[in-house]
Amino acid sequence: MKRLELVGKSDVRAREPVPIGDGLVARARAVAEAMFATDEGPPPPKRLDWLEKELRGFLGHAGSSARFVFGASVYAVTLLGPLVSGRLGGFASLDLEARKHVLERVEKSFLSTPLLGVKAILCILYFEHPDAARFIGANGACLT
Amino acid sequence: MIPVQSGRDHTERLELSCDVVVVGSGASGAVVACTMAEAGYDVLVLEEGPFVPYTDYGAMRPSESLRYTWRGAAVTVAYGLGDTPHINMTMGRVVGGSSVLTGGVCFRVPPSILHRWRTERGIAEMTEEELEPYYQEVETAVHVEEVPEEMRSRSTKLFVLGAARRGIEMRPMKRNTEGCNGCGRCNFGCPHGAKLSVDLTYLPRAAHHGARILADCLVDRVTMKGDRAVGVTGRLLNGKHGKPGSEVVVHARRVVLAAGAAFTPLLLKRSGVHGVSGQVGKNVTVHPGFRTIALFDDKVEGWKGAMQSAYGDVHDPEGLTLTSLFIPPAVLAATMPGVGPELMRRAQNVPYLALFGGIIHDEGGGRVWPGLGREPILTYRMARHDRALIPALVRIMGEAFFAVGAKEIYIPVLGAPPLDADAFRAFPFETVKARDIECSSQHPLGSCRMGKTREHSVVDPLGKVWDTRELYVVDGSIVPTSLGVNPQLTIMTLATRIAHRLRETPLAS
Repeated sequence: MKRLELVGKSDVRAREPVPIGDGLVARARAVAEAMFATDEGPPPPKRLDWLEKELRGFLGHAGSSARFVFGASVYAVTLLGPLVSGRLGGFASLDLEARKHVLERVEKSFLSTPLLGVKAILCILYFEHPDAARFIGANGACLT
Repeated sequence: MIPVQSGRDHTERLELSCDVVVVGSGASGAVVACTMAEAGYDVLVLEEGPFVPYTDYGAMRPSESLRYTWRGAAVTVAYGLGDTPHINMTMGRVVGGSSVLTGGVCFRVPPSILHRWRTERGIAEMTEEELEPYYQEVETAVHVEEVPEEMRSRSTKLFVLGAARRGIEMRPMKRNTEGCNGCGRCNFGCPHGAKLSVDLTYLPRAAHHGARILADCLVDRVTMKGDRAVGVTGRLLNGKHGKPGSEVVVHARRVVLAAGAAFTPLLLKRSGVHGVSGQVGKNVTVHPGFRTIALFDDKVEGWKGAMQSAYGDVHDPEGLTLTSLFIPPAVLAATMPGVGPELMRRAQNVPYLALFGGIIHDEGGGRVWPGLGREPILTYRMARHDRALIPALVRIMGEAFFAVGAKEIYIPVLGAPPLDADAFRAFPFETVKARDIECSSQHPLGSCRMGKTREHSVVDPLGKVWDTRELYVVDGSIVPTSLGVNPQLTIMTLATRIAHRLRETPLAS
């Protein structure tokens, strides 16, 4: 049997994503910087730039419902998270150690579900970077 | 070449006519489209998602597959009510539907379920003998075969050995594959064309016999003329950034809904088809699924091998089915608790992790509600009996892994640290709040269930919506109860049975 083929030019990967607000991306980046910090410090800025670009592409194609859920989760974690851990001030303005502390507390609080949503998407994207994939020992040709 | 058109390539209002319009190109819609087209009917298939040739899947990372082919990039939730976890509900949104994204697992309806359909739901014709020829037809068309033991991943082999030591017999799964090399990325579209999803089987056959397939086309409602369906209306997704744009109007002599359990009930409601039963959008079952991850001293690299290859139904009488699976390393890393250095240290253990899953044969309690936009809202209230099974399921899986030397178990509880054997056995699962339990589902069923009477069901045993003419539902929403096993094959079989009747039923003039 012959395969289906598309008539026209609507290659799904060439489609333009919906623009994502800079505020949301900045908050997600602040979370990612703390989330993926190692004992040596935060991830390289270039890795976070890559993550930011991927996040825009991911959310831009994900549909309005997914954007809403992710956005609401990021705002919940970054606005309420500092309060849960007894800190004042915006999440992004906290230093790295303080942000890690906030996320640790959030993971054990009533905000654990929104954090799971944020963490899942950031992790899936972050660990697809070739260097990050190598870091976790992912060498399967098909899955990485 | 067998052409698929995209709504994005049209710039103006589109008006089409056909004998049969099929809304949705997934497992059930493709079967009906193929059967009707081969019988000589003029068939039009409308699909909200894009068309992605299978050769493109190998070039996509999992996150790219998620964003382009999964509904809402898999960020889709059934909100738990009461003592129920929130459930990550995943569905396909692509030509071929969820069949493109499943592990390809094929089960027939367990006889006990058919018995229940006959005795509790009154559908006397649901016998193994009645369904046998339709099962055979589908199994031949999509090449259902047993997964050989040598194709099992080490993750699955470890679990199967551990289960055997605990007295649990595991069996080989069957999948719709041919020439599978066990690269383990079935959930993100088979890059080798080895998983025979409907975009590689039924849809090309349908198109070969003249069926037209239009992707990127969102159907809003069924056009009703009195009690008779005469077409559908919707929008081509040709607006800015793929938003609904030009109007599409389809005149059809028969309308077949195959939009899935989350969308078909909304389509009916939007079209003013509520039925007298009040059951549209209710009775949703989901097979709540839970995973257990085990850390070993030696490398497991569970992504090498068939993604799904073995199952255990020894606990079926209690309502549990054990099922092998694996997920990409990046997704597996996302399940590790902790943040910062703690998360990163655990993520480095990914090659040493094994994974197994289990589903609960649930009693229902799900409901589809209209959302503010075009997406539905799903809620789910777990039955008390089902809720009580979660700790039992996690314990069964954990003990099987410990029986083969697992060092630690990661339980599906948010923020919970890994547990060694002593800590695992002492862990108070029963006191964990439902909100803290990770749960996922790929099998929404039953939102337009079939039955014998209009007072208790949405469609009759041949998929016809009660008290309408020329309006049929064929997708997973008609399945009367949960199955306890992966539903793809059953959905296709029920659709085949309906399609055989439809092709012999003259169209309305």
